[in-house]
Amino acid sequence: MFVKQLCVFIENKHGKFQELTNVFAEYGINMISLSLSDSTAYGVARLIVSDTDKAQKALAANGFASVVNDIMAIKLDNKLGELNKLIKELNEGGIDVQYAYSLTSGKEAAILLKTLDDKKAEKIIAKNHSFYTEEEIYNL
Amino acid sequence: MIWAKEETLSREEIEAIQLEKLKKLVVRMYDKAPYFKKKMDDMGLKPDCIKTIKDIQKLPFTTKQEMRDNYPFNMLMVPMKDIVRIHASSGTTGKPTVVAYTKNDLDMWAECVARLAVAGGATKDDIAQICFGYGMFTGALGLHNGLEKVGAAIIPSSTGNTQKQLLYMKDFGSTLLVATPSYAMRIAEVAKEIGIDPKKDLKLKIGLLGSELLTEAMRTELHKVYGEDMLITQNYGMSELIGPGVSGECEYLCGMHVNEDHFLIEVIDPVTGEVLPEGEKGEVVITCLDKEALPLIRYRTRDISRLFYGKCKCGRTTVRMENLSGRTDDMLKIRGVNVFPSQIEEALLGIEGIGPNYEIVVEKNGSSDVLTIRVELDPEKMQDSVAFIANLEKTIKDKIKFILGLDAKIKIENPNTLQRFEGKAKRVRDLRNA
Repeated sequence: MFVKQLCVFIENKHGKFQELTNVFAEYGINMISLSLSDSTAYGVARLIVSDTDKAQKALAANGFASVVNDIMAIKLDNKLGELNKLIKELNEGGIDVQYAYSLTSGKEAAILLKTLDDKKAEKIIAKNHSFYTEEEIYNL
Repeated sequence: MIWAKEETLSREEIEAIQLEKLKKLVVRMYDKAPYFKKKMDDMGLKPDCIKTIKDIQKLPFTTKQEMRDNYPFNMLMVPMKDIVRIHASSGTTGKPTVVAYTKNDLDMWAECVARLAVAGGATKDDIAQICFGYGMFTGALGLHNGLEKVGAAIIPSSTGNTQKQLLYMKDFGSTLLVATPSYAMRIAEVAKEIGIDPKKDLKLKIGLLGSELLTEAMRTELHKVYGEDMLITQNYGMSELIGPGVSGECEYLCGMHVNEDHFLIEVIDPVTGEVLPEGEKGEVVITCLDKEALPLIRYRTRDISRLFYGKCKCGRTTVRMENLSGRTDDMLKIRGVNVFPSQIEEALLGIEGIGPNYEIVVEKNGSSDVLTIRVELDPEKMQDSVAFIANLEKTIKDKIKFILGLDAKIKIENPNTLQRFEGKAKRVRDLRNA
């Protein structure tokens, strides 16, 4: 089960990140989860937002390049060792993680996970875990 | 279609016309142009030194500096009562260069442009939208009068307000676009933004581009947005010589046919001044054979090209000048390497992941030159990883290194960050002497 992830290109330049958060504030888009990678000159912000379509249009109108793709949002109990179990299962199944970031809300927690083979990973994960649907995650 | 019989004469016939016109011109200029007489006298030359067409090689060159020194009207060969039009170059590098036309000059100009427009596919059935800035710049009125002579319906929409331009283009069914290559690209970009697909929603089938160099890479990019069946040609000229109208491509795209009965073209070694044989690259030198107000003898254009005299498949026999390799004025010397911005354009266009706009910045860091190339990320090619951007950066860097032999800093920026141009694009910022 996948949810929509928004990836935005950001130049590593003073004020650029605020320009991005400003677009979301102005257009009334809620950021549910965010991961910002860093490199010397460029970054990619990965986000789960309340309205992906609207966000992407707003970004284009404000000169941002973005792309939407699918990512697994896996439900985890918010307690010690849960993520470790999940990653272990993936390792044993021969799946490498490309990137991941987390989301917690009260007792609920999710890990947003991209692997090099999402189809295979989904099957492995589904044995012991469940996924957030888009609707669920937007209401977290 | 071929517009004029002068485009299909034999070499002997063309040279006979040129010789006759040249003889008269030298006599007239010796008599009426003190700047020219002085140069002739200094070289010990008399007007009767012209016996054959090769004798033009004895004559002195004319430079842009002389035009500036004689600002505004000292080079004119007729009194103001005979002048019916005045144009000027933009003068970005000094005082503007002023040019003037008699009634006959305007007729000859329109005739020359008509030939090139027809070579580029124009007919009287066309609806021609002229997206060159109307004003002192010779481009717009030059194409305007030439296309009017062909009988096309002209939309003089000029530059600016690109959305309105597109409205005309769509609703009036424009079939022919006149613009700089960079503005043609900009128009397509804005079309996309407002939901117009130039391939489906517009009727354009001819592009007559000019006033800046059209690289093959840019032509390929333009075909991608306007469609493969659009005939995109470029034509050549400069205000000093007449404006557009000196030469232009035909549908075979194998160099620009020169209107030789009006413009005698030579290619010289820019250092020694010696005339180079057919096929060798050098600086283009042009003599305006029969302009009344402002003829020029052996004007050094600073443009680099070479000539081909073989007959073209289109049937024209006029000499073809290869599409410019660059202008010596535009050449950058970076860490001792000669770089033409057009080479960088050729390298960049066609790389997946970036848009067609770019800027070249040259700065000094201590005693070394730093070349930075700014490009924009193509939003449609965005991916979810930084690795993709890093790879893109490396691809560009490697291609520049391969073509120029120079290391460049590559800056990938957000879409719509770089400046857009409606006339001649200014894509180079040389800050070394700033």
